[in-house]
Amino acid sequence: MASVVANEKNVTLLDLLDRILDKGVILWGDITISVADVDLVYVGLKVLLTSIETAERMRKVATGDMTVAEAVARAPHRGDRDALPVCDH
Amino acid sequence: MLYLYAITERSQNPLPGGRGIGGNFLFWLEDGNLLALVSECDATEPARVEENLWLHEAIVESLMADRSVLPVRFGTLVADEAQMRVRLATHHDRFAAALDHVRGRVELGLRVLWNDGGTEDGTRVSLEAEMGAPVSAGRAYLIARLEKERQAQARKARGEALAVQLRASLAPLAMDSVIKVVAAPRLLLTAAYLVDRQSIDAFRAKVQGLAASLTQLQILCTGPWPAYSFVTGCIPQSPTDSGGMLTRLLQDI
Repeated sequence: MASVVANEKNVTLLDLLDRILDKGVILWGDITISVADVDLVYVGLKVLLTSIETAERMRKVATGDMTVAEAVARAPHRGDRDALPVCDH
Repeated sequence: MLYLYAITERSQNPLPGGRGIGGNFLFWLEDGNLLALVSECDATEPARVEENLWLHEAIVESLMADRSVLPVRFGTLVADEAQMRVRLATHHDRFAAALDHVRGRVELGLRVLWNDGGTEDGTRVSLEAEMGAPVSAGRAYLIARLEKERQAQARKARGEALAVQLRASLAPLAMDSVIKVVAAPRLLLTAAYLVDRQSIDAFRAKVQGLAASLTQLQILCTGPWPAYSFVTGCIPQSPTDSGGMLTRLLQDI
């Protein structure tokens, strides 16, 4: 049987990050542009921090502060992400 | 420089006061019936630390009690008051339509995970049994690749089936919805629903009932949230934006 967990702190933080960094009104063309379509796939705070770092790299690419090649070179190894625990809550 | 939290509308009640990110006072700018809630900000985007993220969220939520709200993405800076007023005026009709769409409604989030970490172990055993004899390293590598692909296909099929089930059971309780089949080894699906405030309890009860019928899966339900997932496209994006490029890049990383 499946279970339902509502408002668990870490889960709520994950959902907050998923919304506040990836959704909401975008005023594209303003000075700061947020990263589009960042999907926080994995559950776990350590992974969340990785996602934020990824978002930051992408923002730098979008603003010209970093090249695509640099962003890819600085990406965490996929194997590290897959090895992280399923859930911290 | 101004930091923008939300776009909202006039109400009989005053807007909440207090301090925003960086300790600066909140204030608002107006265009007709529209209001933009802002605070002074340094030239750089605020740090993406948990404290700032929750503060942004708390300020947006404080508006939700008595008026319709369009939550703005974290880190949105506007040059000055004049630019903000131009933005409000330029997009006035779109903001007004978006406010109508979310009025009296909240967002509820669903996140569906595999209870047991996915289908990997069982599939591996059955595949090796199919092959019979011990296999070489190269062959084992190809078998593993095949196995991984089979698992991905199975997850995708399960996610698509669940999406159909969710649409059938939850759509009647929601005014709008966004379902995304992720089909990752741990996360199967995410969804967001725009729900009337008076229907929140009924929606949660429906999710509870649905969860009872699902095996292998865990459903995480959060909210009520401001309607982040239903206001993102209220202003059409420039054809020159780099969202597509970023999406492709993220998939590669």
